[in-house]
Amino acid sequence: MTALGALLPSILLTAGVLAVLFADAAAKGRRPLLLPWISGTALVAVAAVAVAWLAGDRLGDRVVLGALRMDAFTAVLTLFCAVAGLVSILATLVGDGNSRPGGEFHALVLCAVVGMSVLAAAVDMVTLYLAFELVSITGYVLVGMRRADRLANEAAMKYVLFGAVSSGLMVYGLSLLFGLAGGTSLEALRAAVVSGASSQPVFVAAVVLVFAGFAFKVSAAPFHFWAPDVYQGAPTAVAGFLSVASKAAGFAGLVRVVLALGAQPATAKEPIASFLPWGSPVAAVLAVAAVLTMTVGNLAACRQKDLKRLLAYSSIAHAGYMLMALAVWTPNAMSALVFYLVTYLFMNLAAFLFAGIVVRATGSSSIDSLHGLGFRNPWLAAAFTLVMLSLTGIPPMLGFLGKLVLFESVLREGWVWFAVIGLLNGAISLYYYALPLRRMYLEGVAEGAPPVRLAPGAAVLAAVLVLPVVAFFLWWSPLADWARTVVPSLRIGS
Amino acid sequence: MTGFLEHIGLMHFLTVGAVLFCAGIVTVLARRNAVGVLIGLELVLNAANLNLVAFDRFGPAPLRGSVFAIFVLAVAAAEAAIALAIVLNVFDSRDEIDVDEVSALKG
Repeated sequence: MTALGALLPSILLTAGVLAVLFADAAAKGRRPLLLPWISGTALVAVAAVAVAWLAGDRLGDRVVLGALRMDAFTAVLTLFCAVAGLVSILATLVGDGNSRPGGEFHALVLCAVVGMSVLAAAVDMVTLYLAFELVSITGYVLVGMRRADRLANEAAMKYVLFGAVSSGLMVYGLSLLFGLAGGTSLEALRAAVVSGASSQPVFVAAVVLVFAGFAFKVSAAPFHFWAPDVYQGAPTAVAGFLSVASKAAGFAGLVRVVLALGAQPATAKEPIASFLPWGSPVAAVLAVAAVLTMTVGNLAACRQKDLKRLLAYSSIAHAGYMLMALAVWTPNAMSALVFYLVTYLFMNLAAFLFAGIVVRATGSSSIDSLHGLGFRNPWLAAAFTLVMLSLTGIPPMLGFLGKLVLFESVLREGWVWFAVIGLLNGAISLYYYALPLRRMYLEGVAEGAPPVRLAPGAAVLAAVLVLPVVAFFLWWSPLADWARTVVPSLRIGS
Repeated sequence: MTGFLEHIGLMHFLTVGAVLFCAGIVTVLARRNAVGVLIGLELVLNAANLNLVAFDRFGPAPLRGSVFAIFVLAVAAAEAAIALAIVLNVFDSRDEIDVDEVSALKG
């Protein structure tokens, strides 16, 4: 694949950024409906490119420009983030906050998607760092977009301070890894690790520092404290975008880094087949982070009174499940991670879409604002219920399939204690996912409560997101097979 | 170049970098003022830059580290601009940038 082909998503998105800014300036603040069309077209074009890459099998699995690796994993993550960006823009139009956002909002979302698609492909530390920061910095602005809103201000400040400090830790760690590797490419790093650099104490310190940056990005404990505040203060659609796309991009970057840190010889035929033996330090750090993250997320979610905070802790818990797959690190577990990310995309975007619709209708994001929703808008309540059941992992919803594949891959490696902790966490989550359902159905409806309307556009978007959640179990075996095809090409070298 | 400068090697630079890094982290943790936290962050980033440039000078990959350091500088500038804009906005809405006092969101 040529360099131009590899950069096609970035070029399309940058063209979209320029177009949307010029259109906004030309419209002189009249905010035409043109803007969503432009940014939507750019994102659909990128998604189409990614699908063509996946279908055409012409990626070549090689490194372009010394920095980007074009493989199926890159294509999947590009598709994933483009879809998440598109859904978030549409959800902004029907949800709370500014329902006619200016050109800068669209430009920032497109820039964030550029960063995410590059982060998924990056096999060079400089590129990795730049893409990481592109995603972070656009996120800070998106959260603080509503300048008059005190809570949004506070959320943005917490996000930027937390994010800047964790990325500072990460870049210090990267500088040490650069010294150990003698080069900025992840391949050079892997070569250094293979030849024994991992036995030096400074290596462990560097790895911990780099993981700190990624832990912030995927909201893993103990770097998760920003998530609830930011999700509560940000516009709901932006919170959904951060919780899905930003987290997926963080996992993609983490996968590439762990590939480099693992101690397999560079010539191994099977790229990621169990080269992290039991008890290797990298696996141990990931396993501890996974247990801590899911437990903290699930326990803290139980005492939340705010719907967006509840979803924030739920997304922290899901990050813990996904870290489980990373800690186990077999081809099976990696395909389970890809599969889980796809299930998570639909469930979480739908959950935040519904939260946004409710917040817009009632003016509050408290769980109490769901009171009697089952009678005020039965369709919306039913769809919300399905999504909550899916997030819990109740069969036959999509979320159940994701957990099934994930736990199966963990058990296959004999990590029984790990799977048991995961299942116990699933049981805890049943409690807090049921809280909104109780409010919607079991506590009657207050006198004079306003009906919650579902605009036609919102209904279509909701149907598109909820249908896979309910119906994918019919095709789950092809879907799981497809997730397995992503993994064999996953490497960091040519 | 003669004299004691000849004896300055990689470890000296790395030690200065590590001291800067620790000073930055302590500043970040101890300062309650948001601008103070950002200043501590700059120390951390400069510690990383010092490492990169030193590895570049003494290591096998010429220029790589310097290029990395230039990118880190550029990103740090962008990050500081965004962070200060956000902090200014918070100050406008509540006359307060103490990170412990700005805490309407919790739970």
